[in-house]
Amino acid sequence: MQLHTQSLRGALDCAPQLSQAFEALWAAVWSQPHIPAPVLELCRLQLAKMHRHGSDQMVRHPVAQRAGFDERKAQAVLTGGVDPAAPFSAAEQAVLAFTEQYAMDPGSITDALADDVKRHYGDTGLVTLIEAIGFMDSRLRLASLLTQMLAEGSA
Amino acid sequence: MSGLARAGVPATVTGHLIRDSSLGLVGETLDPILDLQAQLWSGAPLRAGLVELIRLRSARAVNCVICKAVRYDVARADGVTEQKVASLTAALPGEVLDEDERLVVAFTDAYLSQPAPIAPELAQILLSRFSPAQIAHMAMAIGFFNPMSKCAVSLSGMPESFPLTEISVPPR
Repeated sequence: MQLHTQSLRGALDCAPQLSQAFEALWAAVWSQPHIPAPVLELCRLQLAKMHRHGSDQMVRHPVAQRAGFDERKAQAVLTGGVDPAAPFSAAEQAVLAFTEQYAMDPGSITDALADDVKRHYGDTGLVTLIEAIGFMDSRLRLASLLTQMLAEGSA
Repeated sequence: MSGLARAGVPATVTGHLIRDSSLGLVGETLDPILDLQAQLWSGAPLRAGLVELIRLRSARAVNCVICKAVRYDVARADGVTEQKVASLTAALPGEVLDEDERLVVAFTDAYLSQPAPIAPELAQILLSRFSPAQIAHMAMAIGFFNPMSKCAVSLSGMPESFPLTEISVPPR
């Protein structure tokens, strides 16, 4: 079974108190009001694509879905194209460009990329975005690593 | 590495290391961050010294100047010496680390190398040496400290150097 960012808890619940705190932080990332959940969902899918994480590309976060996430934009992120009927907004383009650079090397993020995010979401939005994509990236890594380890444990 | 900080800080100063940083701008995630951090340093099921080696190995990979310079008092009390910390600069830390310490460093490296698969032999040793709860603790430690170091780097404003500084776990 391939874990993904949403099912990761199943592999962590053997440390229940810690797992509860870990999941509370993940839930807070999705419920904060500074960056809309559908925008964060585009970032998660972009990271999943860059991590080549198949199962994470297949799922959609329920908070984003309830907020009207546009599946056409998901497909555009995953295929690297743009759907003319559902083009990315300037704000979405800003966070996706920032996310891509973050995934390659946080130390190479430019002031211009950060300023572009702040133009749409302010300082608080920038911090929110950095936290969010950081925990998305870490959960993608953990989902892959723990899937590999669980497979070894059952081998 | 250095440069101007890309985000401001809360208008109200509280004297709390994290609440007064840019992280304090996002009130919705601040308390969950502090809660998780406090639990990660609680000493169980994984002892604080092993958590510190995970944090520092990751900080070195991310090249977070401040994260690399900080030492948690609970970890020092649990036996993390500067000799052990210095060994983390090597690709394969040597005899100064005991077997458990070398294994948590290897686990951290496996996380940092994803999506490259973990060596099956390493996975087997980790599974036989540590309990499932301890491995979960390792996972959540690297899953928290790695993005926090990346957050510090992404927000810029990092000094070129920072003195070695011992701190306590910030209160919630």
